Amino acid sequence: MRSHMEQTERIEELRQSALACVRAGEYEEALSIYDQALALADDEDLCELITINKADAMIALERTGPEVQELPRVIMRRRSLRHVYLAAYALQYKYRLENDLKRALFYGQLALRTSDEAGEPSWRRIVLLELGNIYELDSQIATAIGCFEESLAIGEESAENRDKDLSHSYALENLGYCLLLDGKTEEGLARVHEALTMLTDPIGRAEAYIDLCYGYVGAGDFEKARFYGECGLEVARDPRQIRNAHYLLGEACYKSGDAEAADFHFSELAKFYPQFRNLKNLLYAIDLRSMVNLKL
Amino acid sequence: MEQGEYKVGLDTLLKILQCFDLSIGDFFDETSRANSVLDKFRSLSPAAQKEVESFIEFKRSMEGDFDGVEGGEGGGVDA
Repeated sequence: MRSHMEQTERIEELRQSALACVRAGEYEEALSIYDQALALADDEDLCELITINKADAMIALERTGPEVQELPRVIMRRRSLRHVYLAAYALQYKYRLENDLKRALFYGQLALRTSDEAGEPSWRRIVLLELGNIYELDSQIATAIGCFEESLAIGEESAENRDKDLSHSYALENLGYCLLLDGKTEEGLARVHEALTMLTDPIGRAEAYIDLCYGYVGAGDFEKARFYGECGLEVARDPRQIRNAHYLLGEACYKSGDAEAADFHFSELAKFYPQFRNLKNLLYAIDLRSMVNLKL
Repeated sequence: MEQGEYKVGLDTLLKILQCFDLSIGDFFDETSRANSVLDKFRSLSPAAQKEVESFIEFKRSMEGDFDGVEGGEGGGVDA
């Protein structure tokens, strides 16, 4: 029979292995490992931690279940600040995915307060990035800029290796886009360009290219706008990104006097809306950029 | 949103506008017809443009008179 210490070590080993699966995007595998860990755990603290971790993986899969439903109770119990922070963070993520921005902000702010209570700047850095994303989606651009800037500043001060941190490049990219929305075109473009040097995944790169296209259309540099728009279109896989790229490329081509290319891109966009007979006419007549948030 | 205060995703915006597609279509049809008439008018000589303007005034006065007669008759019957 295993000693208590061996058992605890085995459970922690399983938990770490599941966390690695989550980082690799292997969520189903992670869920199965968490179940094994939960079956072995008899300590309430450990059970609660694994429950939060499992709920996190379920949320990423956009699923619900007893573990996800347990998260508000974890917050109420306040067994430890770490658990409160993790549960609040998981819930803000869940509500952001569900586009319930009010609840997402509530839990994000709770996670932020908990990080301060615990005196953990690294927690604060991560949750500020999430809050920045929520404020960005909610069109509260000035507040989003503040969150991204503080998150980046904490990252600069900390001893963590920020070059390897994907969240740092995402924060820069989002900050750049927010600055563009705020009319700070030059500064915004510089931030997005900086992020592009660090982003390696296709979704992140497509996002940066498309934001550059948006920025250069705003700056009236249609040649660069078309260049980056085409780069974005080449790597974009997400329908949202493809639609944004065609729309912005259509605008850039139209504004630069290339009617044929504008027609191509607006026609590609119109394919997403086969019932919308006059979409192309509308796009030629009205510039929609001031009404659009590319991240939504 | 029209003041740029609250922004939505492109997909959402286009789906909202899609609801107004019929009236947008009417708008574009009317606009293109008006533009076409205007283009033809502009291509005429100044003298011909004067004639067209006079003809339009004549048609307007005729339609105005006709409307008046029609309204008057209707009123009479009701009375």
